[in-house]
Amino acid sequence: MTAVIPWVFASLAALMLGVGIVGFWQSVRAALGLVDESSARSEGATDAEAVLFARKRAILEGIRELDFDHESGKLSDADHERERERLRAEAKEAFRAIDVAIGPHRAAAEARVAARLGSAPPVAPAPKAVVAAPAEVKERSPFAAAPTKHVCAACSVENDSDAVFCKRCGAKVEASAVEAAP
Amino acid sequence: MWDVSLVYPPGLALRPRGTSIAARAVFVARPEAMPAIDVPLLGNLVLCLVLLSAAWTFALALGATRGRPHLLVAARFGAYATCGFVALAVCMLAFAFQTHDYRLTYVARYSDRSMPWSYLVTSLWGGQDGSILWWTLLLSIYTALATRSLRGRLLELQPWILATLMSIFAFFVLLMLFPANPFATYVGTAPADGEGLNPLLQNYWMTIHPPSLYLGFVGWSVPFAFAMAALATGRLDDEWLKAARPWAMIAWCFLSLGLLLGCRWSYEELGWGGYWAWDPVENASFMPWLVGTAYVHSAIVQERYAMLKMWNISLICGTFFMTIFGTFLTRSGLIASVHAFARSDIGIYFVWYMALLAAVIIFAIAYRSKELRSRHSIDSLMSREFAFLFNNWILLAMMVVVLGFTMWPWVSSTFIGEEQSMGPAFYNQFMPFLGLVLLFLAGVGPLITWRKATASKLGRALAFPGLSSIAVALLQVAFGSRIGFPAYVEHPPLNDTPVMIFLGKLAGLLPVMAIFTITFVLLTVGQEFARGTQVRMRVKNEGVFVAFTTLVWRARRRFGGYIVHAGVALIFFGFTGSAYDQDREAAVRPGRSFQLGEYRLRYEGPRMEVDPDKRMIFADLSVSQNGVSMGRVSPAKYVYRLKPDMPTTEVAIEEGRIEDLYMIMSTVDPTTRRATFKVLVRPFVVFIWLGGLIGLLGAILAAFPDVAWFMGESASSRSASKPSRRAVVAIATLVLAALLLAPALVLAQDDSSSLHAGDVPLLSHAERTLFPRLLCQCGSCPRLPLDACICGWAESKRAELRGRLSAGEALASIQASYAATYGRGALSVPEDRGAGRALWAVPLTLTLAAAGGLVVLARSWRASSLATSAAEAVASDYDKRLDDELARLDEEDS
Repeated sequence: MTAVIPWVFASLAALMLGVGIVGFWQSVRAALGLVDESSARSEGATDAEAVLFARKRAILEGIRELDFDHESGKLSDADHERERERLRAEAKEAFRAIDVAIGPHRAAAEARVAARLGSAPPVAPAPKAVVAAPAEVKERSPFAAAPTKHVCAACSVENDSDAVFCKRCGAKVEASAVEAAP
Repeated sequence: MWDVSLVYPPGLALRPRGTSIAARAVFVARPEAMPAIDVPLLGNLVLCLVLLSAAWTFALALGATRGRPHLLVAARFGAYATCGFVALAVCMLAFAFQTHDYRLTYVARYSDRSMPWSYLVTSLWGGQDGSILWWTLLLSIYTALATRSLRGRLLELQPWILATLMSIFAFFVLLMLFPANPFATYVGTAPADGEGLNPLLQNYWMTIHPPSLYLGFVGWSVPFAFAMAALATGRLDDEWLKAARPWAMIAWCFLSLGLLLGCRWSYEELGWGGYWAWDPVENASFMPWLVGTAYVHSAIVQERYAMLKMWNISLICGTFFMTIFGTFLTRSGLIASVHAFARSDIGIYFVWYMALLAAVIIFAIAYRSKELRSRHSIDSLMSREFAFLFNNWILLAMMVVVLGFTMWPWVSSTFIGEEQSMGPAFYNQFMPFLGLVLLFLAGVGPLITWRKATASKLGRALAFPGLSSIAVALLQVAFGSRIGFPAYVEHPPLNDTPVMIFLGKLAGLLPVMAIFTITFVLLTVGQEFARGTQVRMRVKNEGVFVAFTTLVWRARRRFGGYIVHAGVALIFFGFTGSAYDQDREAAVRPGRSFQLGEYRLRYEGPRMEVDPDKRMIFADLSVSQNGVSMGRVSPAKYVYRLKPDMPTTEVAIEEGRIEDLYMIMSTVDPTTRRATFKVLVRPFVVFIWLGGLIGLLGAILAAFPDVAWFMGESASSRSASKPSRRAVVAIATLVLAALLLAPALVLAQDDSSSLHAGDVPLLSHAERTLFPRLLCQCGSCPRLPLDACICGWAESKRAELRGRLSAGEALASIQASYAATYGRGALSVPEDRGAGRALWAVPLTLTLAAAGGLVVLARSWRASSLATSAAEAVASDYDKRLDDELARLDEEDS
């Protein structure tokens, strides 16, 4: 046993030497631009957006805690109502900030979807419009508005653009499909 | 095996200090054949490599701040490489220990050939140089984890985070290359055998207390790096705060655990019957804890209301600074401490580093002061926000007081020209009051709602706990003395000035004040749980158990925090027990008995056992409580072969449900077999450990959401994964971390000894009060107090003072005449006049002034908040979405 222990540390040392050398080597290569940069690319939401989401969540949890405090009898109805209104206003403000921040991404994403589905490139909705009426965004989105459905010749049901069979009657759509009028 | 001289010929200017040719010649001549690996040389090379790698990474990271992703990738790899090289250095030192490579001074000083391999591993961090290497290793573990968790995140902050961490690495490597080189060698011939590890360090608690403490200390580097990154980039929003929180929580947990284990170690091993002595070393770890705790609280306010930005960033920087300062304090020998370390020349390096650190922090905060100004709004002084501010106030006040008291010997010798000591008595006069204020706030805070509490409802919430605790306090006043726990316990004043006499009387009331506050906190916490459960049972129609668990799980941070508060209250209860300590000294022959309180102890006789390392001298005692036998215990002295002049005291502790019986064998005469014992009954000590355990569990519960985040779950995947799984992952991480490092790190305690080992018999209450306040003046011992010093001078002085005490002379006059004879520096309690009075008067005035300032500040914030709140525009379109999201939040956790 005791004879082995030094060798354990010696091998560990060798391993760590390896880690150090490989790390350093990769570092030099990366500095020269020879390594994939994915670890320096953000995954999903950017930092600034993550902050917005965190703030929204903090406010929502604040509302929940406020309600809870009220239910457990720590707040009078009037105080609760006033605070709740204020927090709700703050939450809405946070929603608005999020919509402003992700507006361009949403437009870009929808444009991509539309492009993939083979329709004409849609007009990106201006972030301002989103700010004014976020609830309308969906109805106005190019995906919903654009005529991308295939109408079944047999039963006149609208099918998805990539549908092969009609979702209602099962007739083959592709061959006989009629492009709906724009 | 490796012909390193080709790479690194001797005589080259770069040759590390102390690598001598002579030493290498000895190695070659050594008979037993370990492969000829030149560890000293290679070790120094590796240290250079770490420095190189850290500098390289630092440069790359700075380059990456200009938004060059490939440089960030390179810096990330560089960080991993640096961590790898540090681990390599540690492995090499471990190898040197295992192969008894006594060319290394460090190996020779902290190990010997007889030690088993496991202790050879522990001695890796048994001394100063090695523990700095170990510190660096812990820093690399934290750095590697942080780098991993930052993958694809916080891209703007990340370069600065890495740069900050690398600068910390650079400092520690420089320390190791120059004043504290673990790979330094003997200039002359290497010894044939080492000196062995300090026997006090060869025990169980010592192996887990310092690692935890160090993990706590080093852990604050990461949040500090986040804060510096935020300051450097100007991205001062919640981003860094949220990212830093899990790291801060982990560091806080380990620091608290470390402090608690330190108390336990002191109680079990040092053998003087106490768990906290306000020793500089203890204070050094307590101060960062105070600042860190303030941060953990005030960060919540920023998360909620985006205020206190500058405050939070200062607190994080302050905590990190205090960890470095604490290390400096214990390492430099600036303040003599009972278990301080060898004086060494690394102090000056720390001074320069602290100066640099302070300059950078102050400059950065000043530079960003405009961005850090946040819109403060406090609606009411009766709000959770303000309660948090108050909590910060009292924590920092405690920090300032501890700092002032700890530094006093140095301040007085530098500026007054007369070194004055600072004994625990002085701390115990002031700190408990501050602690009770803090505890009281911990009870009130949870009852106050955010923004503005409804006064009538708050009154109702306070009624039950408040009235009940008043009732409990009254009960204690009425019946306490009958059951042995009186409400007022005589507390001798520190000096005979009117203020001190008054404070002494006030301190006598501490037991009843503590009982009131503790009951109050426990009841408010209990009430919070009960009321919450009732609400859920009513609203959601759930059973008690389901309602309770869902309640706690859904608001983990909140209820986890409450559990911590309850734990702290229990710990205070344990502290309160010290007012009711009983102790007795007895010198008895075999077969004779003596009595202390309910306990009767019969001395059966001495017994000696020998093992290869040490001689163990036991004194067997048969203990009975109220006539019921409790069995036999054997307090002992161990005399180690290699350190015969440092016998260790092995106490025997009988832990009862309410009180501990703590037995110390002071001396045993080999011829007459007469032994002297010191026996203490310490009530409630068990609550300290119980409270600590509960508090720790609460802290882990509160840290869950954060730790889960740190495990790399993004906001989107978070809702998908089950809470239970997250819980398991989080617990597993914490437990694993604790286990991995449990057998680790024995903090260097070169000069530690059982100074409080109870070798000095103290025969009366007056002696126990007086002797700790007077310092030995023999000139050869390190000016120990008279209750600890065993030199001849102290013995004769004690005899003289005993005579004066029995002649009826007052404590204060003896104290005064002692000071008159030997100078004020001979007292361990500063006198209550001049600078000595300023010592306590200034921090307390500051504290009160700060409280006033806080109220004024909050009032001004209130005015500004009322002005702005009216202007807030409300967009009404989001109502439905808000309701949906709230509903989803409810589903998510339940």
